[in-house]
Amino acid sequence: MKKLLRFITTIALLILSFLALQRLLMPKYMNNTQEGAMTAEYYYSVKNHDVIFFGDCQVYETYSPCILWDHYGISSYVRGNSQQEIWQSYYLLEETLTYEKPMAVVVSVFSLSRPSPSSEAYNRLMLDGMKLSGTKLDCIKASMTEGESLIDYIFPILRFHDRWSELTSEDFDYFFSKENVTYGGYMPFVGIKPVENLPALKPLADYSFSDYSMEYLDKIRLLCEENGITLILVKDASVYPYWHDEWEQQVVDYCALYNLSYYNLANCAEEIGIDYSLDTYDAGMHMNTDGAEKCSDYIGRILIEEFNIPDHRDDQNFVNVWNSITIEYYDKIAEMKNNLE
Amino acid sequence: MNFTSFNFLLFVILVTIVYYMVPTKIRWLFLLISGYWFYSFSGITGVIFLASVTFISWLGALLVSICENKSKSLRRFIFVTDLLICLGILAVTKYTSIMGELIPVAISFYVFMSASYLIDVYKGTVKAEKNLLKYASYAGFYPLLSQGPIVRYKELSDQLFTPKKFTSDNFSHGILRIAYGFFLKLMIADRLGIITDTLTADPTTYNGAWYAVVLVLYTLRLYTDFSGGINVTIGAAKLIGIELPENFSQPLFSVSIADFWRRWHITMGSWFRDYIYIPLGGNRVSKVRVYFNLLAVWIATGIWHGKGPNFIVWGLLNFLVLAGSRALTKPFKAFRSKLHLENNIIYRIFQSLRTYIFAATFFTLFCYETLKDAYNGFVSMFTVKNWNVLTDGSLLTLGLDKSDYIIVAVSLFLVFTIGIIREKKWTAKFYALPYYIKYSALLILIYATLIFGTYGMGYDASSFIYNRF
Repeated sequence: MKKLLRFITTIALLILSFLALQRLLMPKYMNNTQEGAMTAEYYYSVKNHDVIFFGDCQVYETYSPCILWDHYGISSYVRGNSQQEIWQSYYLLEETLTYEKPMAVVVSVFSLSRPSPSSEAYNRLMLDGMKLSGTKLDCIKASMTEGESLIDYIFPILRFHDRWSELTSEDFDYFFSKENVTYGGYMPFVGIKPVENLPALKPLADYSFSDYSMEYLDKIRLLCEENGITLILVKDASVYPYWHDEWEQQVVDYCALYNLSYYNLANCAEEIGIDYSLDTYDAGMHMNTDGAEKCSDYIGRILIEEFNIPDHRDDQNFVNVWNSITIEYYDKIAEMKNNLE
Repeated sequence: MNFTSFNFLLFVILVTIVYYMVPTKIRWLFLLISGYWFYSFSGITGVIFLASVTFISWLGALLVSICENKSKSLRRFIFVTDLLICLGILAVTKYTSIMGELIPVAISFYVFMSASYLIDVYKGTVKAEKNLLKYASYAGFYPLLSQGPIVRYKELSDQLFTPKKFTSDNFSHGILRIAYGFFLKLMIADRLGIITDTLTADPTTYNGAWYAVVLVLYTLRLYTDFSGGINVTIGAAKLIGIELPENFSQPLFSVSIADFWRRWHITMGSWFRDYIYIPLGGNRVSKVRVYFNLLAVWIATGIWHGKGPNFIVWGLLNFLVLAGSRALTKPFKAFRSKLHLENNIIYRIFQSLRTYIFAATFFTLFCYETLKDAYNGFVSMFTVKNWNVLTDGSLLTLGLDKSDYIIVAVSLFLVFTIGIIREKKWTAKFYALPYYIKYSALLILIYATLIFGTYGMGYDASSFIYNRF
């Protein structure tokens, strides 16, 4: 009995100390590369979203759930990450459905232009915050580049063990809990860098989306169908990197084939009111908060008018949640703009 | 599957758990399946070779056994033919270009194990195993399928076929040996590997003092790499209650090259002693014949390590030093006696350093691509005056930073301390310590390796040097 107790104590200590060490050595993504903290934030949100956006930076810097709430009373969330691939969007959708069932899912098509897994660094930003589950394992397998291994994702200490020499106060400050870096998944940027001289458009040898990317778009479509969710495809309002006409046509054809709705915001920039000399912080690649507000307002109106997404501004349950986030959001933007000046 | 990978650890854990769940009578069969499963990770070609060598040596031994009371010449013919086929398979795979880069991992080890079984059956010291699968569980025992040790059939068979019960002592000792193996490999060997690989890849640039760095560090790397793997092997076997022979006995404390070879790669040395040296007459022949026997053993040892002149010259150099010290035994003894050096600690340290320098100089032939590179490097130590590279920060340009050097130094100090504990036979005292001290030591070892080990993404994990052999 004594030996058994000793054995159990030793194993328990081993596991606890292992987990503590792993937590300490993992990047916290609080002061730098905050994008790495985005996936995990979703788990702490109140799961009452009618609309969920999926995609890469073009999504989490274009659609602001706080604006959607403030302007239309829409409860939404952005499950986006830096260079989030279409297969990652699929698995995040699959995971999301274990928590809640939104009325509409909005998926950015820009990631279709990336044919296959290409970056361990971006994989890490997206995957490390994801809760361990069968979906996560499938997502890892779908995302891994050459040289990566599944075990390094299950036990991230195997990847980050050599951070021992780079530990900073951030690693200790955020050991137990972290702060939110987004507002409903939207990450605000307030700078202004107008679109000026864009690089020359280079023709591609092959404009076809890869089978791999299309396979996951199909999976997203089927998953939405199975769950009675309206799938909406969008292309954001950025003007660079280029979105080729041939790509646009493939999306249009796909939507026509499966009777899906598709909105290319870059094509309606005038209608949205985007001023590319003021509404982007990096010369047309991403929207700043002003550009995002316009885009959010535009998509919000579509969601209300075309897809009957309800206005919850009279529902106290939603008001309690959203008003405080929205106030924080506007305060943050005001503070960021002040700092900029 | 790399022995110091997380996948291998999971494999060991899985095999250990299932082993104790399987009925006692068929545990050997489970080990056979595990062995082939493990080996299949290195490719199907290796599995075919392992199965072929196993079958050929099993059949040969069985026929030799059947012919025991019949025709002696037929028995000898079968034995010699079978032995030549086994060794021929090794020779063709290792010393011709037929296999290209696809030489099956650890083939030298299981061929030597099979050959020892065949010879022992022929000599009548071991009974031939009639059950092919049982015999295959010996040749395909998974912990041995990376870098040995070269275990004899009589050492392993009883343990395989009459399994022991689970004991917490075996379990904790096994874990400790595995953790120590990982520590040696990931904390020291792979760090030193970064330096020695850089230096030996460009011998023209890195000469003079750099050669001295290779000379000092390559043997430390080889030792921690090989003994690290052996610790993992012994630990993995210990988890299922199987005792494997030790392959190292503090070789860095050796007082002579002869002593070194009694402490380094012990199972290989004893194989050559038992199956080449002694059958040739050993020491019980004329002086000239003894030297010839020694020469034969060392040429064979060189060839066993690899093809190419480097390995033959390495064997010859070992032979020359061993033969020289054998010839000068008496004058040396008289010299030590006259100066009262026998129990002098300073002289003892000098002996170890001298032995290390000899062994390490010879081992540089393993890491330089050509004999010429190794020779030029050695000469440059005396002709090129660039010793300032050891102090001007150039050492930090070889791929390791200051913290890496500190980690290596502290780790080597620990290895040295453990070496003393083993040398003084204090190991039992360590195991008798209160459990919380032992477990704390184990935890420190595991976490030190986990945090400071050289592994993971961005690091090109090298496999064990000795599974090339």
